[in-house]
Amino acid sequence: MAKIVVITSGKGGVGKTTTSAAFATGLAQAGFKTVVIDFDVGLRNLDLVMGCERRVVYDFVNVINGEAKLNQALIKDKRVNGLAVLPASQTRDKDALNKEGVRKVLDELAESFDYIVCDSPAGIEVGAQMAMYFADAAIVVTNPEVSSVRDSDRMLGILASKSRRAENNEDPIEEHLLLTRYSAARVDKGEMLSVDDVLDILNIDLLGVIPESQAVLNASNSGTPVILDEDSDAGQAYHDMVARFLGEEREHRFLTTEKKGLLRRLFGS
Amino acid sequence: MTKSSAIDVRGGLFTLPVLRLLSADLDELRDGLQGKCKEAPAFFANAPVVIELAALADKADQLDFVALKALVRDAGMIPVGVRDALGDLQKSRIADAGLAVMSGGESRSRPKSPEISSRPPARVIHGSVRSGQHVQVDGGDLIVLGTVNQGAEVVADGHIHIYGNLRGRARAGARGDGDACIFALSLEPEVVAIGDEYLVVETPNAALKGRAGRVRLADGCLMLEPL
Repeated sequence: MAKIVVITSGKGGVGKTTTSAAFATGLAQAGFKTVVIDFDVGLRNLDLVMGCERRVVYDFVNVINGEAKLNQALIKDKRVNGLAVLPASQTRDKDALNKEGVRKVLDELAESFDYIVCDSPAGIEVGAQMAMYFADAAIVVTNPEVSSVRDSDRMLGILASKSRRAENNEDPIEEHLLLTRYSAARVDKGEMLSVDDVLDILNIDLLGVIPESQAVLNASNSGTPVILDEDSDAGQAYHDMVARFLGEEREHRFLTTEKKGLLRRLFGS
Repeated sequence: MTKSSAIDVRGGLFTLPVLRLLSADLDELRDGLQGKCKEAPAFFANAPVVIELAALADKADQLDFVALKALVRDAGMIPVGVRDALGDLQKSRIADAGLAVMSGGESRSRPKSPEISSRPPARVIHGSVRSGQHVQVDGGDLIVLGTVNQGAEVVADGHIHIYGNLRGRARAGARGDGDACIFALSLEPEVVAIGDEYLVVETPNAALKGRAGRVRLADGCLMLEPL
């Protein structure tokens, strides 16, 4: 049975799509057959970050409406084996999504994939609710600043009350926190919330901390998931995060300026 | 007490069966009564009973209390009074039928300070109340095993106990009970209210942060204090 993981946040621009691309790529690198779905109908971006925008013929909404078969819409990644992208439609809006249609597509994907990663749109409206409704696990992407933390808190409340698992009284959705765009130097200066501040408010399992990095922008611009940039701090942080998600224990890195210096000296990078 | 008298007045407490009317239709009531009497004829024989109108509310306006009284008597019981009557019309018609208007019903719907024994059990929330969530408890206390985050709201008619930080809004004694309190392991609220008094906390008091504290109403003033 495939595990459905939603990447969500409430707030926009925090790194959901970057994380979806890196996380799905990392799972596939670890040997799991993984598909990543863009739920941001009307504002599709995942195909750009995954570098497959020129290969989109049919999309998620076409499949829901029965205008195309799932296999026609799925784009197989050329770099990593076992990774596929289901792109969003750019010409439609979120109302094109409906629970029954989404369920059918997820059920069909579950037959041939180990992990289904859902890249949620920003907001808490129908698009975001469709992305999280069927999830088994959620990765809440948060920036270390107050409005992002509050929106994540709101999203966690919705995950606990409006998902399929909540409505059927099943075990609740697994909740993980991913802090992105973290700058230890700015935390030291008091310009940014620290990991502890954020955990104090949200109080859920910390899956990883991704440092603010030029590598993320470079990766998006070139259509390469940042996790494939193994030399970059962000790429390594995503590798750690995927390993932790799969049950491995790894110490958190990039949390303090001192530690970063020490690691740099140790690894000579 | 100086003169000896033929009558001595004392208070007495009696437990009487209450007939709770669920219909205002006399035929239905007759059938229902006869059914009950068949189940336990000895229990109902000549038993004084009180008729309760709470479930009928406005519908009791059309009820013929003279006929109702006869109907209950026919079933072998002795109706002594009617409770939960709404409005003067109902009350005068009950009195005209020779039945006592018993108090208790109307005042109970808006108690000033409900007895502890009559309060519903406390509601327990296992986990945090997150931004955008609203928890309301009618009648009883609220216990939160977690934090109440910014943008979250908890309301209870009784006390509120928070085993975590209070960062959002909390209102205890929502039906006007000024004796209700709010307890939390750290008081950093946005808004607190007890009864009808509320306080907007623009700048949280650093001295209350990280310590168990209580919010109570003293002389019409809301007090946030460490425990």
